[in-house]
Amino acid sequence: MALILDSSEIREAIALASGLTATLNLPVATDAGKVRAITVADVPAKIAQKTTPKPSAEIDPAGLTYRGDQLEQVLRNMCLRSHFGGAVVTDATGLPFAVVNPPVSMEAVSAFTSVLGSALERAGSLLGQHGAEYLSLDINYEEKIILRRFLIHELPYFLLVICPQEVDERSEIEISIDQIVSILDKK
Amino acid sequence: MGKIVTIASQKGGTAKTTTALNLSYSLSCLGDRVLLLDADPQGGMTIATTIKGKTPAGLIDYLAGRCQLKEVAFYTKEKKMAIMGIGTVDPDSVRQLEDWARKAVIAKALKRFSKHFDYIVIDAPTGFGSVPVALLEASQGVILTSQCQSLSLKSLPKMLGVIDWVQKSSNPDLSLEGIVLTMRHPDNETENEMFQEIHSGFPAGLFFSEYIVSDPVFELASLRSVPVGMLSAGKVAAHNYHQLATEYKERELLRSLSKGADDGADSGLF
Repeated sequence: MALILDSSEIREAIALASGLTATLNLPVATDAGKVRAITVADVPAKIAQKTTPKPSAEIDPAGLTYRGDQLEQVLRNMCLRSHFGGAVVTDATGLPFAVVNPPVSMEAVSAFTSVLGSALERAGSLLGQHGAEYLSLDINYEEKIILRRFLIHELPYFLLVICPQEVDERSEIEISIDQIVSILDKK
Repeated sequence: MGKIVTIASQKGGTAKTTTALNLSYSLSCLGDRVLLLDADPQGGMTIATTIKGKTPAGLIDYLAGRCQLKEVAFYTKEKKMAIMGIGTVDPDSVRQLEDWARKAVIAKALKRFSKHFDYIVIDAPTGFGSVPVALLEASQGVILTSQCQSLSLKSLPKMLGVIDWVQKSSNPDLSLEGIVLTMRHPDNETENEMFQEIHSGFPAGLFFSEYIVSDPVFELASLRSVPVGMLSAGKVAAHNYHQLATEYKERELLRSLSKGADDGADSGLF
C-alpha cells in the first residue's frame, strides 16, 4: 500500500502538476511514444535542429558593397570550404559584426564569445603567456568551438568557429582572419 | 532584463529563506549578478543576512518613496550578490504593502530592479495572500520548497493551484521551475519511501533531482548570518545548493533550446 500517493491531496497535486509541467518543457517524447526527461546529451541534437543547410557556392566578398556583407561572405566561404558548422566575428565586448549559422540565439553567442574572450585573456595572464590567442573547447562528442583572438590597431576582436572535432581548422582560420582584418581595417 | 524568480511555499518552515539565500549565493558563484530580495514581512531573510546592520530601510521604504535602490540594496563583501531587506515593518506598513501588491506597485518596482541584475531571487511570504500572488504575477519563474514529509507534500496542491490560476489569469510567462525537497533525512526509511513514491507518481522533472540534506551547519550559518558556502564546515551543504543552481541553469538552457527548436521563428536566417 502506498504511503502518500493514495491521498486526495497528492492526487490533486499530481493532476495540477501534470498541467503545469508543460511549462517546464523538460519531458520529450521518445520513438517508442514513452516520455523521458530531456538531458544534456540531447543538446547537440537540439543545436543540430537549429542549424540550416550550409551555403552551396563560394562568392568573392570583394564584389559586395557593404562591409558587413563582405565579412559574412568570408565566414560563409570558410564554412563551405572546411565544413565548419558556423562562425561569428565580434568585438571585445561580444558585439557581433557578422554571423553564419549561430547554434543558439545571438544574445547567447555574444555572451559566450565575451565569456570565452575573458577566459582566454585571464588564462594568458595567469600563465604569463600574454600572446595566448587561441582557445578550443569540445562542446559535445562531435563538435568543438574555437575562439581566435586577433588585433587590429591594438584593439582585440574575436573569431568564433564551430567545427567537427576531427577537423584541423588552424590554417583555414588564419586565412580567413587575414581576409577579415583587411575588410575591418579598410578606411 | 534580469529574470525574476520567486521562492514560494504554501506551508511555513520549508526552508524558503535558506533556499533563497543559498541558491542566490550559488548563482552568484556561477557568475550571475543576483539581487536577493526579502519580500516577507516576517523578515526572515533580513535577519539571516544582518542587512539591518547596513540600513533598517528596505523594500517597503523603497516602495514608499523614502529611499532609492542604492540606499537599500547592498553588495556583499565579495561583491558577488546584492541583498535588499524588507525594511520598516509595522502593522501600517504591512497593510500598505498588501495595497501596493494589489495595485501592481511591487511588480513595477521589480521590473525596475531587474534592469540591474541577471536574477532577482525573492523570498516570498508563506501562503497565497495578496503579496505572494503579486510576486508571482511579476515573476518569470517560481521555485517551490517542500519537505519530504506528509504535511508539506499534501500542501502542494494549494500552491500549484495558485500558480495555475496566475498563469491563466494574469501572467502566462510564469514558469514553474520545479520543486526543491529540503531538509531531507536520507537515513529515514519512511521519508525514503515517500521520496520514491513522489518520484514515481508525479510528472518527470517536477522535482529537482538535487535535494537539500538536513545538516546542523545550516543553523551555524544562520548564527553567523552567512550562506553555508562561506563556512569551512559547510562545504558539503553548499555543494547541494551549487548542484541545485547548476541544475536550475541547465533546465533554463534546455528550455530555451527546446523552445527555439520547436517554434522555428528564428530558423531560415541563413
